Amino acid sequence: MSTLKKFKDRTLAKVYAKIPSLLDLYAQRADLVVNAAAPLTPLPRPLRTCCVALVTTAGLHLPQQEPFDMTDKHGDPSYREIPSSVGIEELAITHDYFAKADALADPNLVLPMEPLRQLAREGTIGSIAPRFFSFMGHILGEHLKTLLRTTAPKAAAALKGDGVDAVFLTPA
Amino acid sequence: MGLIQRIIEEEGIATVSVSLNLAITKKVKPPRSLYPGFGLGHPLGEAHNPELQLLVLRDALSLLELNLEPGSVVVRSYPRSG
Repeated sequence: MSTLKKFKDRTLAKVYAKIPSLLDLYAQRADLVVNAAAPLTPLPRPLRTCCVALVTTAGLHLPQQEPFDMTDKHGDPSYREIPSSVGIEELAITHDYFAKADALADPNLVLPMEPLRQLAREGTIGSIAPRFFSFMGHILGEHLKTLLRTTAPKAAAALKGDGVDAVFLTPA
Repeated sequence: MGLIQRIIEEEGIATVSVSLNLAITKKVKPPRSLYPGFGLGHPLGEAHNPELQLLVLRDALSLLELNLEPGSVVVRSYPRSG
């Protein structure tokens, strides 16, 4: 069953990669969360003095961390903490919902650790947060509630506790 | 991802993201997004193209210093090697 699911998910990911307009059809799905307004927190100080973190839903993790659960059709609402000091080549990806060959070849494509370090070196940002947060995308049903009520707020509080001023997020 | 972004913003942290699909982003309505026109799995453009990745990240972070309306999506196009 899980092998069949993996085959189906990976095939769909390749189809979406080949035909991006299919995503517009997906966007019409009734179960997509629709919001009428967005929250907004102004940057508290100039970007050149801000502490910046990265957050992704590309399913990145360290090899020694538990991989995301790809067998549950509702997804995996947990996250992995990635120390910002690790080498980009150390990262693994467990995610069957996007064609990940390019991201595996260069994880900066989905988690731009080296570009962020460049911005810190040149003084465009003040500093890099001690840890980044990696989630899965495509979370449904009960797991969506867990993501929204438990795991995402926990990660947000951890970012706040780390003194983060700004976050750059990437889907996959 | 947009839902996680909203929760981080509600925690009091300024956020900006890359959008890979305008229709999804307009529904979920994250606080600020850059739509660079890249495909799934390629939010920073291309693998092993550090100049493009840096440009996209720099542009996205620069949106934090603009006085944008909540839920704004900024559309920009980028040169690609392929």
